[in-house]
Amino acid sequence: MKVILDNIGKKYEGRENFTLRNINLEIEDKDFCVILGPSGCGKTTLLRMIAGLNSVTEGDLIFGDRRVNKVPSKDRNIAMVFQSYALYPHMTVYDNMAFSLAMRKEPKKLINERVMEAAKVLQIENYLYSKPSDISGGQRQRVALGRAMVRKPKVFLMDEPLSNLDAKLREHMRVELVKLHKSLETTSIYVTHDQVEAMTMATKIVLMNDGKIQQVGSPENFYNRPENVFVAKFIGCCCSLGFSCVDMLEVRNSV
Amino acid sequence: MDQKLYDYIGNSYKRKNLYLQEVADLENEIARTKDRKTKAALKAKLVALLKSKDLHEYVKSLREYEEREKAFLEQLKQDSEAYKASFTSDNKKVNTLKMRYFKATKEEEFYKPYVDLCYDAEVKYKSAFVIFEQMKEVIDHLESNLKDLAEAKVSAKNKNPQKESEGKKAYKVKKAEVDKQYKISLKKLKEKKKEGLISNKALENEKRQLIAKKKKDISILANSLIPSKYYKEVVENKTYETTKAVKQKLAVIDDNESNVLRTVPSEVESNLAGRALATCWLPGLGQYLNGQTTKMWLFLMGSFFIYCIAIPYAFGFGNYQAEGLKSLVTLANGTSKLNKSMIFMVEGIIALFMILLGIGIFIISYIDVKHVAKNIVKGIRPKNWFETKRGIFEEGFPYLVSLPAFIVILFIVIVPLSTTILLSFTNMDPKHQSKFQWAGLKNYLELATAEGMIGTVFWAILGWTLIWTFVATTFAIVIGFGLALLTNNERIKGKGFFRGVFILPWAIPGFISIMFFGIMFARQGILTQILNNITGLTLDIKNNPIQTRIVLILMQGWLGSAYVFLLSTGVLQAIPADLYEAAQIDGATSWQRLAKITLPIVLFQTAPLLIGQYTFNFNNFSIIYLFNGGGPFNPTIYGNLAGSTDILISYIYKLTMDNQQQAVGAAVTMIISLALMIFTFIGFKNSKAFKED
Amino acid sequence: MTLKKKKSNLYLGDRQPLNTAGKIGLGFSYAALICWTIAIIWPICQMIVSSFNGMQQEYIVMNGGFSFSIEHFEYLFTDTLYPKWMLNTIFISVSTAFITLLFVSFTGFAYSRYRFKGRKASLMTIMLIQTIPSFAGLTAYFTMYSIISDVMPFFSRQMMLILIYSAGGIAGNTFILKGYLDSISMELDDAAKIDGCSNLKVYRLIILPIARPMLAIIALWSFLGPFMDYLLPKVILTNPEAYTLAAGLFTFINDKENMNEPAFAAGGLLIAVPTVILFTVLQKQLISGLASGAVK
Repeated sequence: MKVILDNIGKKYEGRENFTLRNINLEIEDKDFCVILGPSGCGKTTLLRMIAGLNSVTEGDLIFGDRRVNKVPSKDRNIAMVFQSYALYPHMTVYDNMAFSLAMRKEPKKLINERVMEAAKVLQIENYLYSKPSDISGGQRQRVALGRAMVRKPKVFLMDEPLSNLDAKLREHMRVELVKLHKSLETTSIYVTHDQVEAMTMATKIVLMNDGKIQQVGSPENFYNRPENVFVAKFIGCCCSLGFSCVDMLEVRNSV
Repeated sequence: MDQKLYDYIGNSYKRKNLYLQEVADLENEIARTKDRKTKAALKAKLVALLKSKDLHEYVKSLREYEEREKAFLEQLKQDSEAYKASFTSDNKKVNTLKMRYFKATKEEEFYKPYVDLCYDAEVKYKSAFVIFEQMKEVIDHLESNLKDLAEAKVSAKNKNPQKESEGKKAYKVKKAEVDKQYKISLKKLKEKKKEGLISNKALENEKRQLIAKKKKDISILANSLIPSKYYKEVVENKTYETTKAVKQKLAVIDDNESNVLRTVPSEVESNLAGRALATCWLPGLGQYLNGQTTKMWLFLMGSFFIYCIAIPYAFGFGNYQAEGLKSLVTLANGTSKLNKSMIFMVEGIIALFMILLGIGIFIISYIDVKHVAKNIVKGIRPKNWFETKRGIFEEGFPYLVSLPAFIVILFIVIVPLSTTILLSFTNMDPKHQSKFQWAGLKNYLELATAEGMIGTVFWAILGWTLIWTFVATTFAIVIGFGLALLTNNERIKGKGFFRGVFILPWAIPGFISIMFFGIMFARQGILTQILNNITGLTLDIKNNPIQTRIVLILMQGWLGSAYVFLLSTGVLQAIPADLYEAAQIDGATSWQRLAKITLPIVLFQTAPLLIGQYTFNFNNFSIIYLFNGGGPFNPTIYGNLAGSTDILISYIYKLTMDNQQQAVGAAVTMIISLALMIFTFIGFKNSKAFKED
Repeated sequence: MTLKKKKSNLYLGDRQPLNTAGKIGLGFSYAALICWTIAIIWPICQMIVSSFNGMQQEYIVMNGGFSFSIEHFEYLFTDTLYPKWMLNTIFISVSTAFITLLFVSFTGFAYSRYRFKGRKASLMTIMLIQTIPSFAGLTAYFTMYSIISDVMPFFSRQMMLILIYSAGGIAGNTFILKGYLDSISMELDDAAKIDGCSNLKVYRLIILPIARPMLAIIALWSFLGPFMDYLLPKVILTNPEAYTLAAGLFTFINDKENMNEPAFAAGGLLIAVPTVILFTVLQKQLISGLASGAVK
């Protein structure tokens, strides 16, 4: 589903200035859009506005062809993976993943099919009946993904889901996430502060700073044609790690 | 008049009413010109313009539009009736939606050409367009799911017994398989445990998971194999689709409609100046004029409360005995013998609170009408019911949910409290039980100047109360904390035993221990006899003020230390060991570790609860009263009212219950309540729990 | 043999071995602890012994000899209103716990999850009002009771007592529950909202189950409060048949006509045993509840 942000602005009640203003963004269907930026630039606020957890002060948020500014989160047909996973501690993994469908009173057989499908893809079949406190961080992250997948949402939102994992696992999950995105054929919006993740995973990067969008484009665009010094410095940093961004793009395209 | 219109964010819109635009421009120019001659000329122009309003081009076309609209609406009513007759199903929901769609189509057609003429037409056109665009889908969803639901209901009813028993048989077979599988897995697990490969805890954990899996599998089987269960599930699902899911879709439409209201400004000719004031006497009227009908009903209910409940009650109708607000003045004096001042006072207070509530409703209604009217003139349209309702359930949720608790507190805490406050200003005593009068500050003055029968005693009792509170609580805290330190020492063995014993004073209900100690310290009591044997004296503890006081303090140490002990133990155990290890390496001795690390941490963590202990002992009625009735008596100092060990709270009890000096009792209560509130306020304000928010 | 010898020569502890001063200190510690243990156990033993001592008459004396009998217990159940008092107390305690829990679960949720105008102020106000002893409104309670009971005859004095206890418990327990709920991350709420829950559903399906331990503690405290209170039942309940255990037992030692101290000991013992067991079993949860609510 296409997501359009038309002149979006956000002003918190107690503050004088707008936190976000004149945000214009068009995310195509089946895009993997990464919102990138340093801490405090407003990317999580933007994601939460798309999710419906924060209100939109001005502008239009459009999903497909419907304006959804004031539509509650549960009616937006989205799913979200939180940074801390936010798994319900008193339910088993199975129930966690089935929760949204159970809320809609779907038939048990359908729920079972969807949960098993997701569990197989994510390789968590062995933990279906454990509680979240019994499994490791990486497994919990996969459960959070599974919970989002089962809903078959139109838009998939992710708020720094990999930041709590160790380095090796993070690399592995990057590939997995892109694979998942392609197989689900939904629009994904991913927030991070890590340029490597952005450059390797995205089809479109939105770089933000100080509540404003600095540049929007494909990873090649960012690397070859940065629009200002900030963008150049931010992206340029990752290449000091010793391997070129071209290599990373090849990794992404091969998946 | 403003030259432009504004929405709630601050964006500006051009006026469509050309006549008003001219007026606004003229007014603006008049305000700007300094030259008197031009100003006068402009003013004359303005007057001419206002006079010739009906001849203005724009106004003429507006009137024409309004005529046409009237005719259209008449026609629409007739067409709707005709359309209604053509309905095929009798499902109310479907018909309502279809009617909405039909009306929207007609409205969209009518208002389209007038969009540029005035904003009201634009609003109606855009709202109609939203429904026109989105409603069909909802109607189709509803109709198809209703059909499925009906089918499912039929299938559920027509239980085919043969299929049913087939299904049940198949279910039993599969269930047996699942059970067998479960038993096998369980057996494997148990064997693993026997061989020592997995621990007992792991066995329990895995078993729990197996059981969850078995239950899940069985329930899925039941719903897919047994027809009756299967159809029941389908019915549930389709019911959801036809009710909640449809509600959600309609909410999206409602939201888009209300967005039209937010982005198309309002334009009115008058400036609605006096509306709020003119309608403030009847909450609900102003809301009606503003166009918010559902809010009008809510406020009308408020009006009903004010005019039919609060005001009559305040005038005495429906009172149990009293005469409404007047009763606070008369306090039943001068009325029939059966009327009691107390009842008059309580009812007077209830009447007072009702009036206050009514005033509150007036104020809220006035502010609401004023605010909305001001916005309408500015260009902000009033919220429709959907937006208001959502506001109540989103932002208003905490208020809604706490409302019952607040009402209970209002009646059980605030009303009695007000009664006591008022009572302290009367002269209710043994001579004035049934009827009493206002006495002003007499009681407080007597207490303060230590005069009269009551005043002299007060200060003596206050003195002992303060000594008691401070000494007994500190004693208990020192013992409790000391015990915790000793037991927590890593070299002490038998910690569990000691801890178990030390909680006992806390676990046994206090009144039992106190009463039993009372028995044991009586003249022939066991403890007195033991003490007699040790000291060789014949003690009569309960008749000696100093001895009774000492015994009371010791008893409180016995009782109170257990609580402090448990608290301190909990905190001590939570102090990380590396603090001590670091201190040890730094060269601190045991005493230094105790004083600089343990003490500050424990005290800081438990401070609020320790403060609670002081206030608890200040009001510790049970121990004083149950041990020795507050005695022994000492009429020279304490008169007939109190004993040597009475603290303020037991003194109040005696005043109110035994001596019928309710007014004085109330005065003393107010004094200690005030003191306690101040003390607690200071204590809590600085506590961690309140600062972090 | 050699193995055993080797073991006794090894010093296995992590801590430094004690010097003499340390050993004396340790000895004193043990002495103090044992003294206090005796101080606690002795009176309790006295009570237990007296209640089973058939030779004790109205007053409990020390050297009257001992003969085991349960006559005092029998007396309690046959000749007094003790069983009725027990039922009354249980009824009042259970109702208080239920009502308090009902209100507090909502208010705790509202204060924890929402930032609304007047939040801090109202919490502080209620806390302050709570320091006023419930005693303060006594005369008003009497009057209100007589008015209400004339309008609604089924409203008994016990119900008045229950309302008073519940109202008193709401503020403090809201504070404690709020403290506990604050530690539950709000991301769970967000996830539930995205999954399809309205505000009430979040409260019912997500927050309540997770807060169950704390709710149990609040229920327990609200249950034990009326159990242990003497003042209000004595004052509000006028009919001895409606007494709670505290008020009833007091008549055994206060009233010269009904003086029966061993029966009091027996009655006290019967109450003490279950409460002690309850406290010992739940001591960990109770303490953590106290600590987390006030300290966090």
